[in-house]
Amino acid sequence: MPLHLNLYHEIEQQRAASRRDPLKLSLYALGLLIAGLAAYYSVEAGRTASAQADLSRQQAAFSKIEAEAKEAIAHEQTFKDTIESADKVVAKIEGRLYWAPILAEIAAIVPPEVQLAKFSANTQGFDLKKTVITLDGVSAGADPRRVAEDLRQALALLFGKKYRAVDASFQKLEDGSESLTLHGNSLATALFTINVKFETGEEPPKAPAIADTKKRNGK
Amino acid sequence: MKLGKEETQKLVLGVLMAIGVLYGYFDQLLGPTKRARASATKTLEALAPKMSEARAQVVRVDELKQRLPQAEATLKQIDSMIPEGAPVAWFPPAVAEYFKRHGIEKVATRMNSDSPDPDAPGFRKISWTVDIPKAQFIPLGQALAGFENGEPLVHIDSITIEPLREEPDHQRASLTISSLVRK
Repeated sequence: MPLHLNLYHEIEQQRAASRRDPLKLSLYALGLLIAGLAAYYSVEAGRTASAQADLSRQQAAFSKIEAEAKEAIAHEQTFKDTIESADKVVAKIEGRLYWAPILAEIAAIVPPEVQLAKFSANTQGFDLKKTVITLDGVSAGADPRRVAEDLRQALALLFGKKYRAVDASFQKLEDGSESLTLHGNSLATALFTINVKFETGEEPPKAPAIADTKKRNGK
Repeated sequence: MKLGKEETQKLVLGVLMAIGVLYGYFDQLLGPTKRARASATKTLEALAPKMSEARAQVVRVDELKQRLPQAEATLKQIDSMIPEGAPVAWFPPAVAEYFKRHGIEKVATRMNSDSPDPDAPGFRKISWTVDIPKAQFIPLGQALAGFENGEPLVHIDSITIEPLREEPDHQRASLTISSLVRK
């Protein structure tokens, strides 16, 4: 077996020492760590950039829609006023109480034994109209109070068919001092005043929408 | 493997450097990035309801806008029913002329009040008293029916009819009517 002399053992020792150099190994490890962290950072930065881009897009969209909303708010009241005005006038026209048919119906149920001395009536309200009709007159007959009562009941029936909250009542019913001749017969008389009350239309609805709008507009 | 003094020093130095790098990374790089993303997400979340509200507002006004032409047409139609000029100049003659056409003479109309109508924004409500000195009941009823049908902007608020003492087959009537005119 030939003799083998290693004349580079010192160099090899130096190389081995260099390979095991802790600083160098640390730097390698650090390099790896930095690469890993850099990769993670890239991912995080990408996600952040994506979120920020999304935010920018949304902010741009919001700015646009906010401008439209502000313009809408500026016009909203004008539109509402116009629509409300038209709706209310139409409701007012359609909700009118017509007196001519009422006069015709009352005239039709007044019997020959009754003479109306005065008809007066008034109505109040917009959505809900409250009406009071007052009839003053003279009734004649064997029992003139009965004749007046029949008229009161007929009025209650007539208005009860068409309107709500009908109330027909005597404000006055007293014997008349004079007698009256009808168809050749002398008849006793009674003086009466009948009040007929009734309602038409509906109670106005509550308006929470306006309050909500004011709250929304920060008023 | 046994580390020499110099190697130990180098290792410690390496560890210190690693700690420095990690601190710098988390504090100066990753931290701000994450904070920026969290801030962006939070702002986005806060923006969402505002955006919905703004969209809802726009939709609400769009709906109103769709109803607007019809309302404007209605108001235009109503405007066309109201003659030009001061109501006191044209309304009493118009009422007198109307009843005259129905055989009822000497009808006098006077204005009671003129105020904004709380029930109809944009309109004024004028209250009038119409005195009908003499009329027979049936023609009066017919005239009233025609008046109510022909004048949609007029409402009879009260009515009083009583026979004339000297002519029991004739009545005198007094009407309180309100008419709508534009502001």
